[in-house]
Amino acid sequence: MSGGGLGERQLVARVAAGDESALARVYDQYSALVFGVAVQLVGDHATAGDVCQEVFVTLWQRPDRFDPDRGSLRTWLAVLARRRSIDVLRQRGRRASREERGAPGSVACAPPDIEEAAAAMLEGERLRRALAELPAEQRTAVELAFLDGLTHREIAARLQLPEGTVKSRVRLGLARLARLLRPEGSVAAS
Amino acid sequence: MSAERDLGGWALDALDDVEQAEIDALLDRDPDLARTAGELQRVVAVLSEPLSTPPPVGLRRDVLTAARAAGQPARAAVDPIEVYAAQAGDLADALAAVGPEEWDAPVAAYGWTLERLAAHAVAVERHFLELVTSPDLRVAVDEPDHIALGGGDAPVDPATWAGLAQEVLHALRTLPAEALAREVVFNGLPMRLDTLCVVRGFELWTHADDVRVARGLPVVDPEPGVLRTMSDRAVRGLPSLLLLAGIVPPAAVARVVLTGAGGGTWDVDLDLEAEAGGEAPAPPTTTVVADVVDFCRLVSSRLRPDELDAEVEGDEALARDLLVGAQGIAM
Repeated sequence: MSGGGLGERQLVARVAAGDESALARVYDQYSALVFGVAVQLVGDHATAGDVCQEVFVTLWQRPDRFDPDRGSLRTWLAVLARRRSIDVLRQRGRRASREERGAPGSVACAPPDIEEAAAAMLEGERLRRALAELPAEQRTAVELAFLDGLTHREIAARLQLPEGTVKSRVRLGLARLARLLRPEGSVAAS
Repeated sequence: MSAERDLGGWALDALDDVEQAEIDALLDRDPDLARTAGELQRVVAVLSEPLSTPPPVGLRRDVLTAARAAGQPARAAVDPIEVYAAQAGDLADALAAVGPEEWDAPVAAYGWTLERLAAHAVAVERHFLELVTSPDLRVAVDEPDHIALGGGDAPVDPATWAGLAQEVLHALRTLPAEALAREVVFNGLPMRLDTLCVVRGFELWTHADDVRVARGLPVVDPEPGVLRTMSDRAVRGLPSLLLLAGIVPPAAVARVVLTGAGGGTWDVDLDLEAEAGGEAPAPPTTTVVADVVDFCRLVSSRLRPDELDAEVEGDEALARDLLVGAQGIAM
C-alpha cells in the first residue's frame, strides 16, 4: 500500500506543530477534492463549504489521526470528506437521488455521471477504462454507494436484492477497481 | 468472511454505525485486513478525483479563520525548575552507571576524559548552588574559565554530583516565586533565573549524552514536556542570542517551526525595539523548519548549523544567522 510521501509527512508534521502556513498549503492542494466530494453528496455549495471547513479543522486539531503508513493525505482527506458528507445526509434523514439534488430551485450543481466526469479529466482515461470493465451489477452497486451515499441496506431495498448480495457486489467491484487502478509496479494486498 | 465482505462498504461508508465500529475495531487488530481496507479506500479517493470542484473563493479565508479559532490541543510544557530536575536526574543516572574501568573513556566534544567531565560537572554545580543559595542570588566570583575547567583530574564520586544537584533543586523549589523572574549572572551571562534553570537543563542533557556516547550507548531525547520548555526558551531568546553572537537583529519576523513531540511554531519579532504585546507581528521574512530534538542539539552545540536538516523559506541568510545565534545558549 502506498503511504504518504516525505513531503506529505513533513507537511502534516508542520500542521501538527501549529504552522498555519502549512495548513494553508494543504488547503490549496486538496480543497478542490474535498469540496467536490462534499458537493457530490450533499448537493449544495453552502453545506459542502461547511463540510470542507470541518475536514480541514479536523486536520488542524487532530493531525495525529492521519497515518502516513496507512495511505496518502489525499486519500485520508477524501475519505474524511465522504464521511462528514454522509453524516450530513443521515442527519437530514433522507438521501435525495442524484436527479432530486439537481432539481430546479436547489442550490446545487448537477452531479456528474461518474464516467462522464472521468472522461473530462485528462488523467481519467485509465479510470474510465477500469469502470467500463466492471460487470454492470457491480458497477451499479458501487455507484449507488459512492455517488448517492447509500448504505448496503438502502441499496438492497432499492434494487430489491438480499443485503448479502449487495455487500458482495460492492466488495468485488471495489476490489476489481483496486487491481485495475493499482499504481504501476506495486503489489496489491490479498 | 463476513468482515472481509464488509470492507467494500466500510471504504464507501455504506455500513451502519454499528457495523462501521465493528470493522474499525477489527482493522486496529488485523494489519493484513487493514492493508486491504486501505487499498479499497485508495480506490475511493481515485474515484473521487473527477469530482474535484474549485471551492468558492472566500472559503479559504473562512477555513483558516475557523482553524485559528478552534485552536490546537495545548502543548504540555514543564516548569523550568522541573526541566532542571528531569535532566539532573538523567545525568545522575548516567554518571552512576559508569563502570570503574570506563572513567578514562574520551569525551569527543571536549577532548576530555569522563573523569574530567565529571569534575567539570561538579565545579559548575557547586557554582550554581552558590548562586541559588545566596541571599541576593549573586555569586562571589563568576569566572567562566575556572568553572569550565572544573576541579582538575582528581577522581570524582558520581554521588557527589548527584548530592549537589539535589541541594540545588531543594533551594530552587523553596525560593519565592518572584525570585525566579529575577535577573542573575551566571558564566558571564545575564538572564532570568528560570531561564537559567532551562539553560542548565540543556547543559545537563548534553553532558548525560556525552557520558552515554563515551560509553558506546545511544543518545536519549528529553521528554516532550521538557523539550517544549527548552525549545520555547531558546526560540524566544533568539533576538538576544543574535546580539550575543555579534549579529544585529534586523527589524524582521522569523517563523520557527519545530516538528515532533515537544515542538511548536513561533513567530519571533527579532526587533529588540519592538514592544512586547504591541502590534501583531508582520508576516515572517524567513521560516525555519526543523525537528525539535535536532534544534535543541544545535542549541547545545552538539549539532552544527550546517549539519541541521532544516527547511528554509524566505531569507536564507537570516535563517543562517538564526541558527548560528541559537548556539549562544550553550555553556
